[in-house]
Amino acid sequence: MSLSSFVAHFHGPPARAEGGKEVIRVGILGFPNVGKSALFNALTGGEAKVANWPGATVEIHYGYAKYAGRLIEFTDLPGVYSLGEGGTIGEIVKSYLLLQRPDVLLVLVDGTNVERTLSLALQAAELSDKVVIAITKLDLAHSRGIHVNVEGLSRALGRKVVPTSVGWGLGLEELMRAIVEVHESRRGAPLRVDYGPLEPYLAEISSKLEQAELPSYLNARWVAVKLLERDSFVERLVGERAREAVEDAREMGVEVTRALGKEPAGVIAEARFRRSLSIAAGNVARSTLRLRRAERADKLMLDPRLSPLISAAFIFALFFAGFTVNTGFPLNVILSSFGFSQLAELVDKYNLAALMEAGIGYAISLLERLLEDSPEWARSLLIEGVVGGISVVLLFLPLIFTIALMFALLEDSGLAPRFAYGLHPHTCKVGLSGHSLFPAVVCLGCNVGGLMAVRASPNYAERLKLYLLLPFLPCQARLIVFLALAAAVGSLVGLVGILVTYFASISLVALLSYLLDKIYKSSRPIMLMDIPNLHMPLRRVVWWMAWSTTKHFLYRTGSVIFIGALLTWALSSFTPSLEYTSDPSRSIAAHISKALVPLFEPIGIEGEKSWMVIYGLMAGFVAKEIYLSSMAVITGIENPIEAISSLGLSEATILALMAFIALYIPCLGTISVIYTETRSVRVALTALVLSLLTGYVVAVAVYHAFSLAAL
Amino acid sequence: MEARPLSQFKEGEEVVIRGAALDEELRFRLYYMGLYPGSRVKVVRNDGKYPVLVEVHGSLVAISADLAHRVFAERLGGEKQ
Ligand SMILES: Nc1nc2c(ncn2[C@@H]2O[C@H](COP(=O)(O)OP(=O)(O)OP(=O)(O)O)[C@@H](O)[C@H]2O)c(=O)[nH]1
Repeated sequence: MSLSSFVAHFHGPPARAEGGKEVIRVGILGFPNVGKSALFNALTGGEAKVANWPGATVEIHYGYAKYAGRLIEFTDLPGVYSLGEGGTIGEIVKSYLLLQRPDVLLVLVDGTNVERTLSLALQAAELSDKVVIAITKLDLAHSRGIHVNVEGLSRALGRKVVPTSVGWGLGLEELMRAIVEVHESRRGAPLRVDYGPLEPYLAEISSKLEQAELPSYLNARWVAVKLLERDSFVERLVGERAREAVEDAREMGVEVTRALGKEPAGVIAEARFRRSLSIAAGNVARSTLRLRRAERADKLMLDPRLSPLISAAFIFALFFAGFTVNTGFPLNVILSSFGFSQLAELVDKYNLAALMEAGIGYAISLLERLLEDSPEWARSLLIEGVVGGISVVLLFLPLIFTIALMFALLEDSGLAPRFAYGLHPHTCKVGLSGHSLFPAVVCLGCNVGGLMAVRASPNYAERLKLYLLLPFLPCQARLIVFLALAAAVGSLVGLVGILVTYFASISLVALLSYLLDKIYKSSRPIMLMDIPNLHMPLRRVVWWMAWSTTKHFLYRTGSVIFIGALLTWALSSFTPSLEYTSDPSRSIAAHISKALVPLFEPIGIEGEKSWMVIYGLMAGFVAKEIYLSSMAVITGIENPIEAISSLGLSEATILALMAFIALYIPCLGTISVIYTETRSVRVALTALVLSLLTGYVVAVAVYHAFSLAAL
Repeated sequence: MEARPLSQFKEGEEVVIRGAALDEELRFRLYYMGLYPGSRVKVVRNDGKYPVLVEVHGSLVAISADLAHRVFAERLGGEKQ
């Protein structure tokens, strides 16, 4: 991804907003977990817009606040430990800071850990004088007996420092006032950090840079430090004008490493941390007050014998509760397999999805009455196409919200990184990091929700791998189809078939992941992360995270699903000569199915009705539940199990079908979510093709294995 | 005193980071997180295959075992002041 295309993609705000108000552009910078999102949300009132770095699944939120006749635009940058960081995140932050160039940089320093997080504020102050520093989480700091001398910090840094707490709602006005003041103040000098043994080198590079006529927003000393640090972004940025300085800095870097036995990046980090530790030592006081309860909980969470158990139990419990409320699954299956069929029916009837479905059914019957006099095609378009498409999206919504809420609670309380720690050595065996269990488990209920939780994994290569592999995990909708197929072959063989399908799908994911891990080093699961303190999540932050994820799903993924559903409706409602038909066997989809029959002969699909099986598979692409209803429609037999039986398929063919249905792309929603999360058509298509091919190959193998066994 | 892999230190030991045999992006990231050469950190937990937990300037950092094998440190007290 080139920088210019990112800049083009990141819609910068207009220089002047409506009403002629001046816009002050503010970038929010800070360590991971410093409280950026919480503060951003409090400042902008939760009204965020999203910009994406294409293909990197990194979202950047921006939003607006009004203060004293100005409009302030806040951009919530991804968390970084230093401006020197490489990788996509580092590139994004630097292209915002150096190419987009905010008017004021708001740097957050964690009130519960000033000494470490101050190092980033130092770097920002070295770059620019237009910096405001916010101390975050003052309420937490207070409850831990930490006192921060704000004025002292401000003096030491030469920048405005504002104490804030989202928990208490403290400091927001003051922050905006400080931003406006700093924006309107005259230029001051950048901060100077002493880099000890590097100083002579820095002086030499700086003087070269001064002759190179760099743009005025770059001060030579800051650039010199970055060059010595081998920051490739800055090297590219100034490379054209200051080639010589860049090359000299590289040579000096080698010299320094030889002379000091440490490379410049290490020396620079050390000097900065020394400075921030000493500033913090003079301005932060701790009384011995401590949080006993959280610490005791942490002893358990970080105990290697207990941690994996607690983590897995917690994740499964959340999964169980969340899904049962929404869909009845898996409680309904458990109840009915233990013989409590009446209870299971209750659970099936009174869950969110069932209630919504009843509501939608009622709405449809109203619509049908209203549209009695309109032509058939219009009725079909409105009811089956439009309302059908909308209800696919709506039925997902409560589930997506629940999953987003669980996700936000885990992230915000500090539990998520602890789970990742406890699970990591175990998931590593199949080439996945500890972050991947939560999305994988959610996928067993619903692939769409599970794939949305993939963003928990900090490694891009791993996320990509999860988007491609996790859809192989059978979700609840596929289970419903399996149960019908199992009933069609007779219960015992069918039941064994279902169990084997589950086992095989999970093993396939593990195996493919393991193999990818061996082939591609970059997706190898490493773990290098902060483990923030355990604490009560902030209601406001959790709510906002869950809500913004749901909204994102509704608008982006929802519209892709809706369009897909309309297209599918058109395919099954029009003949190849584009006439409307209410007889699906004359539709375009039926014609395509008939053309595809030879492809499915290797799994024993033959005879007059063979195309119906394929028609069902095509309908199942929208959502697996639709597979069954479409079989009923196309065969004209209302009971889907009898409908399947009426096709006269052999046992081997049905088992092969089961394998195919387990593996080929679960639903339109899954593909939509892969596309909207990665912003890449290529990744979404790869997932689609991979799943079709894998499903096909496995289905053929299953068919032949069983045909042989039956001989 | 010899620098040893971080993965070999025991719980409660205080160490000085000496360097890391990792590719540049990860190595620098380690520095920026506070594990730069010369940094003093405390090993909070180390259970073989589990990530090593270290306390760095007041924060807890998890480093997976494979990385911890390639980060080098010395026991504090062994260094010349
Ligand atoms: N008590 C309290 N907790 C806060 C406050 N601000 C943030 N937090 C908590 O600090 C943690 C991190 O906050 P976030 O806003 O998610 O931090 P972030 O900097 O956006 O983190 P990343 O998204 O990882 O970069 C969360 O658990 C918040 O609940 C505050 O003012 N008071």
